[in-house]
Amino acid sequence: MDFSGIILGFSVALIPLNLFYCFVGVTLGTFIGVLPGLGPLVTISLLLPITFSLPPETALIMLAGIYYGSAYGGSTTAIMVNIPGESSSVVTCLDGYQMARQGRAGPALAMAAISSFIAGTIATVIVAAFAPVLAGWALSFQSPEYFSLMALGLITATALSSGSLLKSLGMVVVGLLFGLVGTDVTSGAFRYTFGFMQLTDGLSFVVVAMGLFGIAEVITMLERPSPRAVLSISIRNLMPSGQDFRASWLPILRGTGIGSVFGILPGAGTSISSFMAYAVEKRSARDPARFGKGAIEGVAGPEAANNAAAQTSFIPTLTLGIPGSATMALMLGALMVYGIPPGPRVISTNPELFWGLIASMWIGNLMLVVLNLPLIGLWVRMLTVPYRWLYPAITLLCCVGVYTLANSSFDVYVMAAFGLLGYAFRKLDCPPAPLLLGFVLGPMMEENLRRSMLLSRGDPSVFLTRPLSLAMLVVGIILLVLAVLPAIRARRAKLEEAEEA
Amino acid sequence: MASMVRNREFLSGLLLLVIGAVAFYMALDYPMGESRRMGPGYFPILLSATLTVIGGAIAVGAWRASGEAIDFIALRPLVCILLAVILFGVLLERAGLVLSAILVVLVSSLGGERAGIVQTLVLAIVLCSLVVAIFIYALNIPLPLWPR
Repeated sequence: MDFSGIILGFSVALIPLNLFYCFVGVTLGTFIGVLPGLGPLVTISLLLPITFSLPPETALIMLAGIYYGSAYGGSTTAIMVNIPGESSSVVTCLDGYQMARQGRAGPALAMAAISSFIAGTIATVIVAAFAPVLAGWALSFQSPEYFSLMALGLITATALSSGSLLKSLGMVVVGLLFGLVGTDVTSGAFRYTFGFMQLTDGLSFVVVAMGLFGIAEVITMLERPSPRAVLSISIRNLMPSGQDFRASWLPILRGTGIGSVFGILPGAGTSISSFMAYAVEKRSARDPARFGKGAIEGVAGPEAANNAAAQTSFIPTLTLGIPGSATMALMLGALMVYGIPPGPRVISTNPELFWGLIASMWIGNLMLVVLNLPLIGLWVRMLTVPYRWLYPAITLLCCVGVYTLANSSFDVYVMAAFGLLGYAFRKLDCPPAPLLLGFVLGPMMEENLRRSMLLSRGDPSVFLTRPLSLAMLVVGIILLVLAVLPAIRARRAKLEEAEEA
Repeated sequence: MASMVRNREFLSGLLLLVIGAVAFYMALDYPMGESRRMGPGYFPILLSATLTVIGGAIAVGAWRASGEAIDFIALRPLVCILLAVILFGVLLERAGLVLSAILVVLVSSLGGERAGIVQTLVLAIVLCSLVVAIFIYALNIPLPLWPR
């Protein structure tokens, strides 16, 4: 293995400026991620405008810090209040909250941090080892391969997400369409601008994300009565016992393995890996009945998987330009704001950015453990911040943040429109995350489709005659069929039931 | 069949169908080009047609299965939050950051559970100072502070 890359990475990540912003990111991320109901997606959208005044690698390092910080903050909320900040910490609620109710909140929080750190360390090595290989391989891709790869990524994201497949697919297409708003690069024609000059540069992904995830989230949050049952336990004994460690080290390793594999798949994301890890731990436990009643393995395994997947999902994002989740789509969008076209060339054209980010992943994880364990008392107190202080703060931060992107009031109105749209989608159970994926990939997909068709002189079979492209499409179709099958089976079962009755 | 109006599946299909149809209609104005030289209308037509079909399929599927009704829409949070955002857009360049920030906090506060007026005012002043500190002093972004 060639170590020059990772050495370069540490030399970038250890610059005081970058260290400082890594720290700021991790702390701010935890700070906001701890607040109930605010997951990484909201946190990152909220803080994106702040990072745009920084140099690209510093901004990306800070964003990544916000990402793991908020993921960790989410686990704290899951354990203490039983409210998952995002789907991947749903599993942590199961046993973590039970541990907290038994007065073992300290060990649960500490184990979540420790298993995340171990998983993060291993996953960082995996990213450093595999990303360049994958990027090297992807250098031979031409537009048909890229088009099929993007299609595969979008299909994976929908096929593996929960809920209705058709709706997720529909949301992807809506996102692709929104991505086309603005000037067509080839012909210079204005598309879907509705006569607004401000839209000729296209919709800014920050505005879209803040509307869909910031404003819409606030409105939805206000509809539900705020559930507040913070456990009033003082956290005296923080460290897990020797027995806890003996019970947890294998689950941590297994969780890391599961998370690393699922994180690399484009579109798979973190929630599946934490669910998988939980299932594996429950199945391999000597006494499965303990799960759901405060088993520490049920915290350690999924937390490790979650964090490993969060790290390895940077691999497809950075090397192929295919984001694995809506969060990664935000990272990718940030790269594009800096004029860095994502893809296999990022490693060779911006090595300091790529390796700096990887090195800072590890540093960020270390900071999380070193800073957060002593500060757990403070984070837990954050949970008692009342809702009526929170949502005006989020609304205000969204407004100012969006305005400062281009000093434009128009952007603020567009954000309001996307807030309304996001609210409608939420009410109708249409997942907004696939929309964001489609939105980020839309222009690239069109460009690659156009180039492929030019290459083949208008023959669409080009996607089927090139072996790699064909393979990706076949995998995509298999995934779709697999996703539809259980749905069909369930419907048949329901019909039979109805007939029998 | 009146229940269809409130059926969540049906409505979501309808929404996607409408977005698709509008996008399709607009895309008809853009030159299609041909497959080997795709015009600006080619990809939009492809996408919006797909979306229309998907939306239609969801809506039709909803007729057959009995779906859940959409839950109530709370108008107050929706109106207050959106109004706060729009007011900010209208006011910032005229009234400056300080006044518009305070207004955003006050108006959006009306959307949630009642809090005392004093507490809300204190919150507005605290949040406003935070935003001024972060964006103007820490990030050096030139925003108008006061009315001009």
